[in-house]
Amino acid sequence: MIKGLDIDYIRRFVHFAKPYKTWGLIGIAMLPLSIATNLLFPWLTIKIIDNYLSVGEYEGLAFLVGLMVVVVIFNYIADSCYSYFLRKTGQYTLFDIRMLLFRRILKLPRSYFDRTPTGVTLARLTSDLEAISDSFVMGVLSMVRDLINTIALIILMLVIDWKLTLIVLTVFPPVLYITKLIRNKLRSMYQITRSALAKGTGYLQECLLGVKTVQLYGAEEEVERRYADYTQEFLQAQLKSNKYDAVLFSVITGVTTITIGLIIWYGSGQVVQEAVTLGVLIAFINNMEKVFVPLRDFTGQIAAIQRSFAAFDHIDELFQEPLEEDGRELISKDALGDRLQTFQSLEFKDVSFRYAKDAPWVLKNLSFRLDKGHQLALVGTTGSGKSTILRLISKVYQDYEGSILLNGIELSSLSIEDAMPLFSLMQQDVTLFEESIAFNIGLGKPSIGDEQIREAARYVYADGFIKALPGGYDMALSGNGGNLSAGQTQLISFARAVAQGGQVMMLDEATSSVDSVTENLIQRAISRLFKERTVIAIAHRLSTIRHSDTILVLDQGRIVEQGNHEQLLAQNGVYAGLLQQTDDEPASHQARYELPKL
Amino acid sequence: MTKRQFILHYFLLNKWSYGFAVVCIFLVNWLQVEIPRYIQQAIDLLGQADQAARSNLNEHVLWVVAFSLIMVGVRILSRMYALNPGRIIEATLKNDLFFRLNRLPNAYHQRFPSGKLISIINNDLNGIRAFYGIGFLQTVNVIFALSLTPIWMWRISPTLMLYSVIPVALAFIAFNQGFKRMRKYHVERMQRLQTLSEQLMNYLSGIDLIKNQQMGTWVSAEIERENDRLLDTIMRATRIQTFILPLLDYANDLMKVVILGFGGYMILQQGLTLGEMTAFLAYSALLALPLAQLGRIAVVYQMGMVSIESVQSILNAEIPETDRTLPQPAASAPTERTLSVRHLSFAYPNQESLTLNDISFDIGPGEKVGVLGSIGAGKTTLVNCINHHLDVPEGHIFWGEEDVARMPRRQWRGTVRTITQEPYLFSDTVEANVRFGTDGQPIDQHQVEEVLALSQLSDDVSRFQDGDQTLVGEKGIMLSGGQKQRLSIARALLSPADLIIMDNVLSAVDYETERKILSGLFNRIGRQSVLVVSHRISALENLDQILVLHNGEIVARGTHEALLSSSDYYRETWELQQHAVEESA
Repeated sequence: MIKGLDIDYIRRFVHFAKPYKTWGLIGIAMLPLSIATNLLFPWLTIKIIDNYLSVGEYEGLAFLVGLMVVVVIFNYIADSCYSYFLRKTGQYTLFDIRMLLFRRILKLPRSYFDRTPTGVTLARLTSDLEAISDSFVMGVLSMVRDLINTIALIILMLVIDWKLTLIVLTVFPPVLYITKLIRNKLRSMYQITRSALAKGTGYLQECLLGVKTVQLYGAEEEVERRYADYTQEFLQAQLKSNKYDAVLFSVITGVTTITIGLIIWYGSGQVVQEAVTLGVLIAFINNMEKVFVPLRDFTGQIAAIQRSFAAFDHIDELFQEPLEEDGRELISKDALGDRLQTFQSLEFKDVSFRYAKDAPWVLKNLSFRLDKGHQLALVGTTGSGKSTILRLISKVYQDYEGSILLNGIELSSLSIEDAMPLFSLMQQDVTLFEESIAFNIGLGKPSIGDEQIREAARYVYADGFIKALPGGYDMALSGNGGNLSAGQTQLISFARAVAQGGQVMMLDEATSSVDSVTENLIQRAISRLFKERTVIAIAHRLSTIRHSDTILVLDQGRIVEQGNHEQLLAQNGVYAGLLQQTDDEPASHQARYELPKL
Repeated sequence: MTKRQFILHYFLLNKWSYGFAVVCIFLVNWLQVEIPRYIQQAIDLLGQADQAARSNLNEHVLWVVAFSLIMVGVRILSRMYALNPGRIIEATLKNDLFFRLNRLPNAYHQRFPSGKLISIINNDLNGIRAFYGIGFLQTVNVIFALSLTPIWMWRISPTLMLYSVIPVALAFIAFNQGFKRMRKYHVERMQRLQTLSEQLMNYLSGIDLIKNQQMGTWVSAEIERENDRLLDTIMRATRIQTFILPLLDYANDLMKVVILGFGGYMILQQGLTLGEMTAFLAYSALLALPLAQLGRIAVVYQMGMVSIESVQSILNAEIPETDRTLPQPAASAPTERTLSVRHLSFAYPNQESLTLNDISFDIGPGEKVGVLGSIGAGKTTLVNCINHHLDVPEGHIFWGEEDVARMPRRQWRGTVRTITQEPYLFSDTVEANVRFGTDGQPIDQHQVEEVLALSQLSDDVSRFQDGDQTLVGEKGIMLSGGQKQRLSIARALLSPADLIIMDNVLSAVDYETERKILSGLFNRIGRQSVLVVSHRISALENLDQILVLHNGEIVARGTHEALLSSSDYYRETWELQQHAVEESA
């Protein structure tokens, strides 16, 4: 009844459980005691009826009854310890799996996160593991014990009276057939349910994250209609599986009493011929429940079991998901030696990149070089690929064509741990943690002390506004900086980049969203950086990058011009044109803002 | 709605289904207690070889089989009609919750991060489904089973019945103690799971930074701590689940021992037949399942109560009164009204200082007004007050004669269109994102193309492989910052609005694109009022009026020329930007 694939999951789960082997073994060791006590109970029942009640014998009855009480007590101890120790093993294993998964997710490439909504990944770490905890660890383990007990009981019955037992067993084939039939239906139903649920949850999550947009566009009913469709799809699938569930459960429950009827009908003749004792007959009738109950519980738990197997499936997918560093020959720390101690150069050689296999090229045949102490500026319209270059350097994406050499070493053969300390990145989208401002600047690194954090904030002129906030540097930020303005978060991100102390500063649109007065202060900080460090900058203010050693002018992923300010001016091409526009701006305003006369 | 009203409300939604289920469950239980009576009579006929007894016995056996078959049919119905309502209520609640969340003001969403809300809808609704489904079924079943079975036992032998239930009664006391503690641990487990979800969500959305800064160790340690707390609670609950709650099952075994011992004594005294004892044993088996179910009911009940409280925290959140009324259909022609802001002051909750202080200005029909201000000056706060994203006090913002604070938000938002600083896109096609919010309005393809052209996005879109059917990815990840901003501008322009607010929307767009967008925009929206918020004077200087915002106050206002002579701050800012322009020449 369990497919090979399912067994594979269990085997893998057991593999994760290795550290808790002792507890697991204690639990399993309880099984023989559980089986023995379970068999003794009906055996003693037969003895009492046949040797005492049927023949009117008093002597020794009290002793046997007392023995039965002892059997029940031992049965309780064995079963409880079995459940407790195996569940303990299971829960500790799940704890480990959650940590393993989380650590693995941290190593997945950006492309995984691009195609997987965050809600799905979250579900893997929470609801999927909970499903395994609830149904596999709690349900399946007790079911296994019940199943073993049932088999043992049937063997005992065969030993006592094989003919009567065969009568009981005749009902098994049709019951098993029905079970299998409905189980297959249920299995496909659960797949539909899962996917409907996932779609609905993903959409819900998106709408809740963007609830401001939904409200500002008055799109409440629009999104509700779409969500209701997902809910309806889910409900219909659920109602159908509920029907199958009900049939399966009821048939198996009914089979118990039908079999009892069969036993009496067949047994009546046998008792007359004294081939079967009354005690055996009554014990058989009385134990039919125990034969069929595991089968019924099993059907009752099919839903839960399917869920847990689906969850195993999902988690397995995550474990199969190729890691960022899979298939890459990473250079070991030893082989590297001190070659990454100081930044020497960064070189792009014929680099092309696209976000997915069939996506359009974002970068095409780029070649340029940045040396220590030099500044590289990226100029171009939006969508020209500037941000993508920074993403490649910061190893957010790794599957580029061509070659990117850091100190002469291929970037894709370096681990993030080795390569990234050389860089400090100020990102366009700022991520903030629900911790203090100081933590968000220093990122909790022990090497960055309080004084360095304040120093970095002063460096970017953020010190002033931070001190004015309630709590100053200790002010706790709410969800992604909801209690700060956009400009303030930018400043904190800038301070963070400075505090991280990378030898190469990467600035992505560093001055956007900041007002002119503050911008001026930041410009001064940047020019200090430009003097003291190696810089790669994306900036819209051409004045910012004027003194860069190299300016790359990008258009649709290609370098159209390359050189310093003077050289590019002399070329009188795109760059010169861009400058011209900025220059012309005041004059052109009148024309472009003129409103049509009505 | 109180908890009781909540339970009743959703219960009554399915009253017919529940009613039919109760009848079926009763029938099943009645058949269940009837069957052992026929078994009893059959057993007592055993061993009698005469023909009459045999045919009598066969008749009893036939009844057993017939009743069993009827029971199968009725049980199928009982399970379907008792369990379906749980699913239906789950679906209804999902839609109800979403409806409520969509209409709750910003203040609510600020307090409850979306991770928490999603956890409620994902996890807590399971509890409610179980409560209304399996919880209902088993409760009704237990009530019938635990009342009918003892009565049928009593009819055979009152004394034996009383003796045999002693172990069960004792076990129930222990069970009850465990039940109470389980309830506590369950609440704790759900809370810890929720905290863990929130934290995971936070880290997953900052994954790039975490990887780049190698913060893996730190976030893993944080997650490990929460995970550890969760495990701790689970293990405490497991101890009760494995050692205390099963006591009832074993009490049931002891009950059988009592029947065999005491009942056996009665048989020897000729006070009971073997058939009657067999029936008693069968009844004790009938008691076993409902008693074990008591444990499950307890868990389902606890989960249900906890979940209902969570869900009610959303459902009972007040939607402001003005927003409960349905919006009137938007007027087709521009309404030619003036936006008046009168002495508007605003402070965020839990903050002492005013973010906006005594702001007054007008935007007449078709007028273009700009707001210039430094970081933290309150520009975005002002925007969010005007579009009623924040809860503004009454009597300060008027649209014509109407107080915006008293207008249904949804009606107001048919009039005012805000393009926010940080655009939020849906993981759908470019076209679907442009059409967002216009569902049901007749908008044809060329209008979509027109707004894409206006926001200077047409060229980009034509370069995409699938054109405007290109998927933009979650939150528009496949687009650059500037493309996202321009897409959000296109989206805002598609549906008509009387007042357009642009909150620093061109920050990630270069000057060239900015120029094209603004000129196209002002060409198109001649009769609409516009409020432009920016830190670039270049985007503001040709507007009809410019407000200079500083520390939440308007420190100067006027046209560009007037401000150059009247406001030092404005002039300095302008000179700085001029300087930048000159320097680059």
